[in-house]
Amino acid sequence: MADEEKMEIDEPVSSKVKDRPKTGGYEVPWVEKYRPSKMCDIVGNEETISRLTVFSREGNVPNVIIAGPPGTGKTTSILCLARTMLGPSYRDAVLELNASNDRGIDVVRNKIKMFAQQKVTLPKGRHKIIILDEADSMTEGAQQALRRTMEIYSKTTRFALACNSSEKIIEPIQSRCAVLRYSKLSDSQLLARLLEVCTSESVSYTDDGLEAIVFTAQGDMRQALNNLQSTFQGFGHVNSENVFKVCDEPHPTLIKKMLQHCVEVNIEESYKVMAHLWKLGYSPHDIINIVFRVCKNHDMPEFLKLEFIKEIGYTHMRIAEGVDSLLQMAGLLSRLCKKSAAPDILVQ
Amino acid sequence: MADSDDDIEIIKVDKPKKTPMKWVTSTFDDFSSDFMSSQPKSQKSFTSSQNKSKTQSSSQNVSNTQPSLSQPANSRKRPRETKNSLKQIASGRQRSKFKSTMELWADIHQPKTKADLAVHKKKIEEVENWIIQSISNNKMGKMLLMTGPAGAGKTATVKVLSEELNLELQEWSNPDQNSNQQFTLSSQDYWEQSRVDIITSGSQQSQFENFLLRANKYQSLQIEEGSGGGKTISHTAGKLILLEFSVIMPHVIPLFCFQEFPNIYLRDNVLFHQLLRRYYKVGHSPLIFIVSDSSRGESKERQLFPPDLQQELYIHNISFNPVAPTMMVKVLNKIVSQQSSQVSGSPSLSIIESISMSSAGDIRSGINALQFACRTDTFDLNSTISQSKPKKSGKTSASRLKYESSKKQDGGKRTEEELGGIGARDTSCFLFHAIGKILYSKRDDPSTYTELPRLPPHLQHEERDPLLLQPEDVVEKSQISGDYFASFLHHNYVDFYTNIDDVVNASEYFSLIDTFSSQWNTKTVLENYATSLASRGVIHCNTSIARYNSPRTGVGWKPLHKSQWFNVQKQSKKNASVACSLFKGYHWEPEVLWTEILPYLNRINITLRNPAQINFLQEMGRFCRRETYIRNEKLNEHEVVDMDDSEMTSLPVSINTDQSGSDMISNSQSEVKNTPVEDDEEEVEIEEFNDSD
Repeated sequence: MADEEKMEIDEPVSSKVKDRPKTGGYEVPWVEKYRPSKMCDIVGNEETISRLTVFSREGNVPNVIIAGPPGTGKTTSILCLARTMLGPSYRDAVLELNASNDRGIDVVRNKIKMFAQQKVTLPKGRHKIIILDEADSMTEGAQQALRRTMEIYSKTTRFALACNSSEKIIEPIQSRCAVLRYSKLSDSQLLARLLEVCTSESVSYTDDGLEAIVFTAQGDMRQALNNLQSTFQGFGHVNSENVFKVCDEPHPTLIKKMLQHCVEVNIEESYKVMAHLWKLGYSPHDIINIVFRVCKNHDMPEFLKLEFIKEIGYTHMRIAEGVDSLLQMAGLLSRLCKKSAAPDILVQ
Repeated sequence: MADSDDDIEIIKVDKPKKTPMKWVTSTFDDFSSDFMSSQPKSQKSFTSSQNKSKTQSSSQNVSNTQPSLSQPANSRKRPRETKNSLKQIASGRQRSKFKSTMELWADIHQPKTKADLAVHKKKIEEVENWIIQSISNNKMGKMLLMTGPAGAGKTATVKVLSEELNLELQEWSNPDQNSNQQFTLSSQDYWEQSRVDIITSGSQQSQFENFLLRANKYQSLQIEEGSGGGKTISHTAGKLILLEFSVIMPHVIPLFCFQEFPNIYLRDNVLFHQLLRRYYKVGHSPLIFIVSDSSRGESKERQLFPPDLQQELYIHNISFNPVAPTMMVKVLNKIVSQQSSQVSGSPSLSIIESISMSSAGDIRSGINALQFACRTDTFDLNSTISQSKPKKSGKTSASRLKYESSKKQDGGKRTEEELGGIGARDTSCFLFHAIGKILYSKRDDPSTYTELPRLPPHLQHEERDPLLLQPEDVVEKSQISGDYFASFLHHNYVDFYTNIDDVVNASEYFSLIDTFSSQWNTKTVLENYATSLASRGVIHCNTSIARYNSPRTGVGWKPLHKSQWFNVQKQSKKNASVACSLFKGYHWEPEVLWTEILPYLNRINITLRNPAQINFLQEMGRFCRRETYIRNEKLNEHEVVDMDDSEMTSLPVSINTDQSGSDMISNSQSEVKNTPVEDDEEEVEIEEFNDSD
């Protein structure tokens, strides 16, 4: 994570260069290559982004906290905002700190404060921006130290915080900021972007391949692009088998079949699938995760779904506690089968 | 490391000589109107009032004590000024507009008069009376402790009152940390950043102490503070010292940190208490402490000001409630009208209401959210729409699709759902939509589906018509954690059920959820399961909404309530610590002490000397008979109504604005009595037990 974020810092400089014709050799990660540099290119959360766009044009942006799951464009929107708003003075007027930087109390007290006190000549209505990425990893002490700074220097400096969960930001800070919540990108949003990238990189793909990427990414654009790139570079062609090979996840269609067997009370067949997955060497964690995800979207009666989720949860709890044997998985299947089995079937 | 900006402030606070003061002040006033670079916002009031009140003698005293301070400060100040003016010239066109575009709304719209305050009148009066009283009566060492959630207007109240009463307000904050400074770890946490730079040679601890005591010595002191920024107000007759505790100790954070810190704070607390005691003996000016609560964590209040100390030093305690929604709406409306010149398309009333809901009584974040929400204009919307079109049209509609079912307001306006993403604090109105969706979940006519998976015959009674929504999506959209969501559902679901068997089934799922989320090491993994189970379980178990056309007899309009679970837990922790600190002589485990021993002591009418003990005992021993207590936080009723029958009711004046602090305590007392239970499930039983009690 830290590495990725590190790269973001360098990105503005090289973004133009990357558009060179493809020459093979060193390939920039597509995540960076296609990182939006304008507000309007950011995918998803339109309402919030559109308002940020206004701020980037007119200035006087309030302190903001952007909260949301990974890969939804939090950092990107802050960077875009800062870049459009500050233009050429970006370099002088932005201080970016993320989890890989030291952000203890001392840094907040000294570095951040010093920066807040610096004078940078900016057009009217523009403020220096301090970007605190992954703010939820700041200690509470550091956050506490921030709160007065925020207030005192609000005339010249604004803060933009990005975090995954706003609960970890102390309330006094939340109270001083407008909290913007980003939600996961929808599948269609991911897909649209993937298609764009595929076109410009002339990737050969099949529909089920992109679908698989969307499935594995779970609303995380960064992961989607990474998976797309690795599949493409590894196999030259994006189809669902290749994607799951690259991502090393059990194929959801297998899992789906397995669950369907359970619904139909066919334990033998469903166990065959499980044993197959086991032999392929997938870890129980991986398997159970996919089982849960597939189950949530599987088309089955409501009651069964509820009960299945319950049983899967139990099994997951055991696995998380360290009991990750094949026996547990088999036990899961049998309990799933029992859910829909008629009572008399068990007597035989 | 001491930097120049802070030096300016020093002059304000410490620099007493009249003439330089004036010079500084006037220059600064100039700036402050349009370019108040790093100046704290309260400074203005401070400087101007200082000119007014003739505090010469007092200030002189201070200067004597710190002659060395003022000197360097002064010399460093000039270059600063010049820079400022350059800057000002460079950017100073259009001055009049400048200020408003440069500042946060929360700053621009700081309350100036009592009427502006969004605080309940009685509270203001209470504080005012205290100030007047303590100023007029020259007894020593009066202290006031103000508590309340962030953004409830504590500091603003004091500032406004001091202005109206013509008291002087000064601010102090902690000195910057120099690397060569020797401070303890704790003082670092304790004293976060500073506003006034004192040239320091000791730890902050000793500086703090010096200040306090010096203040006493020379009548007119100023400040201090414990952990945050502090302020003093002085008057010709006396002065007020205001301490704001912005630090809620580190142990509030995660448990693991806790282990590293306690000794340090224990020590700190002792030092702090000693200091207070000394102050109590010698101090002349009233002292005000401000401590913000945090709703999830336990506030520092109890540790810094244990009840026995409060008793001993006669510390008066005033607690603030969150700002009432009606009040908030009023303030926000006013701001909108004042800002209307700059804002194209002012937000509709419903938007303002939803902002006030979502900010959960925090006026400052409400204003911030408003500022953000107002920043949109048609030009902008057009451009985003046209920009997103060439890319791919599907996406805008896709993101909204989820909430299509709940009605939108008229065309171009943003609906409340959309605004939810801009909600202020964690409890957004979104949450209530989400809970409403789950509890009132709608089903579809199965005949429209061609291939509907069916349950085997023996499970026919579990058959349900297909749902119109994906429960997981709803929860995800609400953007809060699964177990928090579950606790809200849990708090509300019973009202929506008509059959006791259904409740049994649903509560079984809740207990399962509790198992899943009880262990910290598996909690993150299992949280998703908890979410799914909570939402799906509640929907499924309610047989009265099993069919798309079920009569839904049980599901009339019902108010939704905030989950009390976290409050109860907090209260119970608080009571435990109070009990332990008050009854030091009883060597029992806290839980035993306050659930068994104390009520028993109350029963047998034991004779106690300490009035704090007596009070506490009486409270603990009282069983609450009121039935209303637990459901006191109705929020967003209209949201629910709105969703269902598209008819806007007026904003409910529901939050207990005048529920006094003592009420709160007694209310929770009875719950707390029963809270040793670990799990959510038991909470219901508590309610019922108390109700019937």
